[in-house]
Amino acid sequence: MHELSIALSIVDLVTTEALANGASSVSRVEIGLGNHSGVIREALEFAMEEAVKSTLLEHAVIEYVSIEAQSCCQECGLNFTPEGLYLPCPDCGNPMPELIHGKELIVKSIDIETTK
Amino acid sequence: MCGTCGCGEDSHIIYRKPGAPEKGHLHYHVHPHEHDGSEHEHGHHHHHDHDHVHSHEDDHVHSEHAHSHHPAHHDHSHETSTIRLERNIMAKNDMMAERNRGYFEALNITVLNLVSSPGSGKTSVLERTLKELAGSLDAFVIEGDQQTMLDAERIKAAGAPVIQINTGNGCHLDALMVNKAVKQLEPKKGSYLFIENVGNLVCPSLFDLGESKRVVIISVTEGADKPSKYPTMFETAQLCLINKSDLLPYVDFSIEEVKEHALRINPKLSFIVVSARSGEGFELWYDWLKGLRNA
Repeated sequence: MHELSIALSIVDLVTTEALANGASSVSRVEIGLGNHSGVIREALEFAMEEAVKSTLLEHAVIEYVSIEAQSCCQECGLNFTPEGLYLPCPDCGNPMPELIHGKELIVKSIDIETTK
Repeated sequence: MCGTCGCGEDSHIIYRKPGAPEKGHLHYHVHPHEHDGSEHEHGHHHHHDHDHVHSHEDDHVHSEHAHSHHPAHHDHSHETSTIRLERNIMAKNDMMAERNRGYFEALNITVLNLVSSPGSGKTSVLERTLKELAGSLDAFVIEGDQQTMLDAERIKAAGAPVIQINTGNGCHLDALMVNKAVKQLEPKKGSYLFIENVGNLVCPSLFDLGESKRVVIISVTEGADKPSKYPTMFETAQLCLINKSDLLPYVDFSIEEVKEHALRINPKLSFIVVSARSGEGFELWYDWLKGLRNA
């Protein structure tokens, strides 16, 4: 349900950047979604369909890039791909390895159209 | 666009103090008809069901230019360029939350964001807290619900200045709503501000409001495995109140089990077992609250 406000934030962010660069429209938006970002891709896709209407993004292709979780253990320094959230370090058993990737919710890039 | 239902309205969010007249939707959006391809928010399907003050500052002739953006597709040459952004989508909320936080810090206001499923007893915990601490601390309350003034009325009766945010269909409070509500509520220097979030264990976890601490409330009538099922909320909280302890003899709920689930997600989480009904455990909760001042 919070995906709609996130979709609107995306439209807002992209519109601001596009206008600042003199765009007449946006043809592509690349969104990076961490596996553990708390956002469901299908729900975001659905929300985006509505959110882009009557904006510069209306005809843009929206690409979703998923970002794999990556953890780092502060105790033993092991970098690993966690099999689930909140699991201890597989090497030394430290209960709280740090999740360094997987929470991302970012606009990676956009393609804008400018009229000459 | 409205952030709750996606319609053309600027906002369906209502801010109201108990006793204040219902103002309905304040339509403070001005239609920017400069046709530069931006900010086109036409197609107004105004589906509200109470009185509202319309102040549209122009004639509604939307149909004539409903599709007039994306101009000049045929006559001019286009150039496509890629801009790398790598920008955090939550940045706007996070920035507003930091603004709130700075304001609260400057006024030495301690802010608690209370989150839980519907029915865990957030309002009851607050009511008892406000009544029992009435002499020893200044408290202000922001109530978040989709609809009704019911919680705000209860809080007002408990003796604290309160403002109700009705999010319409929205499932969480965000930092901008809190920013607007605080301007109307005007919490005093050195006070405690309790923000009762919309009852929902999922969405509010993503939205920083600028709080000092986040308190998650779970009641013994819920499953002890809830922290594992809804981890984000327990991960981002600093304190977990386990409420309705007076019902423990009647339910199959293990305090140890819920702690085990929650600590697996957040080893730094503290717990206090309370009953808003009997008052059990509230001294510990008050000590924790007062301890935030000395931290």
